[in-house]
Amino acid sequence: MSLTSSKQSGVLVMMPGSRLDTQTAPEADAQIAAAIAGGETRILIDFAQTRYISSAGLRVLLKASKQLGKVGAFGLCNANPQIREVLDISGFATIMHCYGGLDEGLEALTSP
Amino acid sequence: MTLNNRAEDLGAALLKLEAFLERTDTSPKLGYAIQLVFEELVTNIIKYGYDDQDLHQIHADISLGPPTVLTIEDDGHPYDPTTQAEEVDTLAPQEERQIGGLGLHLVRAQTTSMRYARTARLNRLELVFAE
Repeated sequence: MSLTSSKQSGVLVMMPGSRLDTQTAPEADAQIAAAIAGGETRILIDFAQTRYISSAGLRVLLKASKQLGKVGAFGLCNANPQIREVLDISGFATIMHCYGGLDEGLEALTSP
Repeated sequence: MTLNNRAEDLGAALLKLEAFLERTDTSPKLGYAIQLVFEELVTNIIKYGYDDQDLHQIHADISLGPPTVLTIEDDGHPYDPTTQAEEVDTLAPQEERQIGGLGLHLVRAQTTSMRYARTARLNRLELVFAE
């Protein structure tokens, strides 16, 4: 499993492992797609354990964000400074909700 | 470091690269940049560099600086990333963003210069980092 999931306050929190790269992105993509197919509409990606993301991982985030954009909610939290920089230079920080900690992300995604 | 043009080889090479960088006093920021540039460029070589199904070797060499220089050599199709137009509009709204095309944008953002040469059927790319 490349993502561990937990349900908190109606939000599915999905935590990638240490790296979301060309090696791990396909499985993460499949897991998120399965969650959405299973009816999840609010997904928060928690980077608490993640050190590294590449464009392969960014594509997974963009796809999920597009899918949930109109029908639900999608956000990121706990990005380390390097991941945050990649989100900034790719422009993702302006098109996705990036929260500080898990609590902040959960609060934002549960509020109506 | 030498690897074959196979996705699983790239995965293993990335873990090796991360472990190597952790043994040096490379800053987290620079270490991240090196891994990212290596992954994006080698991914492109594996995906687009070859028409045949044969094994091809890709060579990468790092000289820790300052400035740090990463050199990548492959025997794939001639491909000069320094002459590719910027394809990613990072300011476009989400609905218009294309999935993909991001790799080279990240490479440019993480390096201060990129020099390409085609010699003896090899692509040779030299990337210089800010630190």
